[in-house]
This record gives sequence, structure tokens and C-alpha cells, in this order.
Amino acid sequence: MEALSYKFMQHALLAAIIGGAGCGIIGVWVVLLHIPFIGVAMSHAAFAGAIVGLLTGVSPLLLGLLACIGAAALVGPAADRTDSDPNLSLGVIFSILVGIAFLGMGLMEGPKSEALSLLWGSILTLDASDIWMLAIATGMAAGFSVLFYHELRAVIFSRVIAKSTGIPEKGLFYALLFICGTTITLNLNTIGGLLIFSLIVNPPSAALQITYSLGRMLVYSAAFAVASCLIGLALSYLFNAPTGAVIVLVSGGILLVSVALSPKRRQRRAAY
Amino acid sequence: MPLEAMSKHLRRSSTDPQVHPAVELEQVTLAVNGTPIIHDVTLSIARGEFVLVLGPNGAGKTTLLNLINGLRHPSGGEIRVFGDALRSSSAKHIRRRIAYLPQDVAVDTRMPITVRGVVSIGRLAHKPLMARLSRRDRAIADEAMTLVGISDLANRPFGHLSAGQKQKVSLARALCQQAEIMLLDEPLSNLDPRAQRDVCDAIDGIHGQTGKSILLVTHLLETVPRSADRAVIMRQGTFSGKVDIRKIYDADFRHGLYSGLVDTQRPKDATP
Repeated sequence: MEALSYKFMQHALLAAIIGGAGCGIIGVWVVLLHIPFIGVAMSHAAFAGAIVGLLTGVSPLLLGLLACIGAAALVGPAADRTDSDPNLSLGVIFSILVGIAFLGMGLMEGPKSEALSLLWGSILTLDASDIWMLAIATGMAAGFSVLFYHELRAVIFSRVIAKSTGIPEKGLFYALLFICGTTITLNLNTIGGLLIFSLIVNPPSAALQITYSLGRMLVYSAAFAVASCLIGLALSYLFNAPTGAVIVLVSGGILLVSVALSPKRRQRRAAY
Repeated sequence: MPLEAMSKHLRRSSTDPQVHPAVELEQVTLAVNGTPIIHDVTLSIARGEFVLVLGPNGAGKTTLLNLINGLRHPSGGEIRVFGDALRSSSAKHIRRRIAYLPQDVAVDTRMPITVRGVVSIGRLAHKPLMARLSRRDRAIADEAMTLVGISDLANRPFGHLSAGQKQKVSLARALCQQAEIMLLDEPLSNLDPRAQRDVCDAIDGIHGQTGKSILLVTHLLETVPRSADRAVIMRQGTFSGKVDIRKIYDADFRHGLYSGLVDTQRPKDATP
């Protein structure tokens, strides 16, 4: 309890709850759309934007966020225009942005730590504005998922069926990819690209092991992500270990436990 | 609920003052990059009529359904649904009148959704965005499942079903849309003979109980629904003849018809 008297720990605790919930929610869509690569692509988009910001004298954080939002908005239309998988368009966007980042780093003199911080983040160095940013991201992800729940379920099930039922599937699909991208973006500066990647993949994968309901999957995934963050934060404080790495390992541990206890796994075994 | 009362619920009587055919196609043409895909197709489907369109793969059957469904737009000619020109109808209006069962929709079998969830997608045709499903929507979904004979599967995960069961779920989903017209695209393909017969029986049940207008396209002649009123042959993008629907259940006639269909589709210089 003594740890909670520190301001940085209070902020970290809030970030763990709010950021974890947001990542857990969008992680469900990321996993069901089979696009976990979006986490890596968005963090490198931020990195490329920040490098360009450092080169041009514009705020690296601002350009990093803009690069991410631009990339997130491009994923859906690029996939549809080229009649390809969103993963492929993410890969193309990622490769171009990494090219831009490396070109900028080659041209740049001096330290690049400000740009690199967007890739790694730090949950222990947050201030109130960072918490607000996380709250906006999580509110956006949760609001979109709840309001358009039935439509999104239909679009994820089959875009063809959704379209033939009169659902504006293209707009919703693009909006979903955009929301996933921007939620990741708004989390980048606070909890970092590596941590986000684990939080958008491990908790929803764990939730998928134990339910056949999309609604419950959203709730379980958010709960597992928050639990990963809180347990990881506590363990890292107790053992003086790197917080991000411990959170990643805890989320992996929760996934392993859910696989071991999965009723689906038992049903699959019984079927063979 | 008795089947008769149920079918009235699912039927949704038309209130048009004038009795127009359900679907009218008048010299409809579709060309892509100058190549005609559909040319000079004229067809009228009366209210409550069940029409089969028979033809080999590549004859333009799916494209024809996409034109009637408003998913593609003709280059020439006119399509009318209950007397209203399709091009002047809104997408939402079309979806309320036409239910579409697409062919071979790729669905992720790990998607956390039950049979009831899939069937309920049909109700979204009647809902504004962000609306919740009401008790009445759930009752209509239950009725559709009962009529198709899959009530016992309602809470089963969709991914656990056999191909035949999935096709019946798709039929219930289309039925749940409460549209007056059903377009069924190759509903029997990729099914074993027993599942084909089951699905045919379900389609016959829908037609018999609800009196909906049905247009079913298929390249399979061995098993066709017995309640069809007439059949037309489609080859190379246009209608090339009618078939006496009574003869279609005769194996020798079917064999001759199928050989004819394949022969006409084969390039002239190809070796037999």
C-alpha cells in the first residue's frame, strides 16, 4: 500500500486499468480480423513520424500521432483497392514507414531517444495528460464496440453477408481498422509499442479459449488485460523488475492458464 | 407456435395496391471492360413463384443474382422489384425486400458466435444503425430456426456445425430478414447427397409455408427442390431455354440436359 502513496504509482495504476481495458477491447477485433501485426505497424508509424518531426523541427509526438492516424486510415481502403488482405496492406504500409524512419535516421544528427521513446514508452513516467489520452482512447474503443456491436459482429462474421443485409460494411470495416489503429496510437506514448502488442494479442486469445460469445469475449479480454497490467505492476514493484516486461509475461501466463482450462480444448479432444 | 401462424409472421404481406411481379428484368445487360457478362436477359418472377436457373459454372448465374440484389448495376436494361425500379431504390429498402444467400462465404470457424447469433444478423436489415435487437426480433429468429428445422442447434457455436447444417443456418438467416424475395446462390454446392436433400427439403418448407418468391441458381441437377414452379437455362450470360419442371426429376432427362449444358459451355475448338 505504501507504493500507492507515490504519484507515479497512482498514475501507473490508472494507466494499467484504463489502457489495459482499451487494449483488451480492441484486441478482440484485432484477433478476430487476424491482424495482430497492426500493433507493430502502428508503433513504427509513430516512430517514422517522430523522426520526421525531429528532422523538421515539428513536435515529434504530434507528427508521430499524425503518422499513425494516417496509416490507420489507409489500411482498409488500401486492402480493398488492391483486393488484398488487410495484413498485406499493413505490411506494405509498415515497410514504407520503416524505410522513411531509417532514411530520416541516416540524415539526422544527434540523439534519437525522443523518437525511440514512442516505440518503448514507460508506464512509470506518466502525468495526468497521459492518463487523459488513455481515457480518450479507451472510451473511443469501448463506445464504438458497444454502439455498433451487432453490426460489427455481422461484418466480422462475413462482409458479404453484412453487405447483403444492408449494413454499411465498408464504412464500418474501415472505421474499425481506424479505431484499432488510433487506440494503439494513443497508447503508444504511455505504455509503448511492445507492451501494446502483447496486450492486444494475449488477453483476447485467452478470452477466445473460454467463450463462444463475442460479448463475453470483449468483457473477458478487457478484464484479462487489466489484470495483466495490475499484477505485472505489483510484481515489478515487489521484485524491482522492468514493469513492461513483467506485464507482458503475466499476460502470457494468463493465456497459458486459459488454454489449460479451456472447455473448447476439452471439446476438441473429445471430438477426435 | 403452429407452423401456419409462424409462416404468417415470417411472410410479411405486401401492401402494394397494384399487383406487380416480384422481380422483372427487361433486356438487362452487364459489360465489364467492354466484355458482355450478362446480355439481353429478360425474366419475370411472379409473387410467390419459385424459379430455378440452371447452368454450368461461369454462365453468369451469380452475377445475375448480384444484379437483382443491387450489389452490381446493369450497363443496360431495367430491373424492377414489385414495380419499383431498382436503381431508384435505397440499399436499405432493397434489403428489406430481398434476402440473399451468397455462395461459399468464407467464415472463420473460430468466430465466437452461436447459430442464434448468425440467424439474428438477418434482423439488422430492419434496424437503424446502433439499434438493439428486441424481443420480437429474437422471436422471429426463433421462428425462422423452427421453420428450417434447426431449433435444437440454436445455442451451438456456428463453427461446430456440418456443411449442411451451416447452409440451413444461412437459410434461416435469410428467412429472418422477412424479405418477400429470396435469392439463393448455389445452396447445394459442396454438400454431400444427404445434406443436399435436407437443404432442398428446408427450401421446399420455406416456399410452402411462407409463399415467398424464390430464385435459386444451381449447376447441380441431381438434387433440386421439388416445389419449384419452373426452370430456365442460363448459358454464357443469357437465358437459352426453358425446362419442363416435371421432367427435371427424371434421371435420363437430367443426364441429357447436363451433357448439353457442358457441351455448350465448352470452347468450340476444345477436344471433348
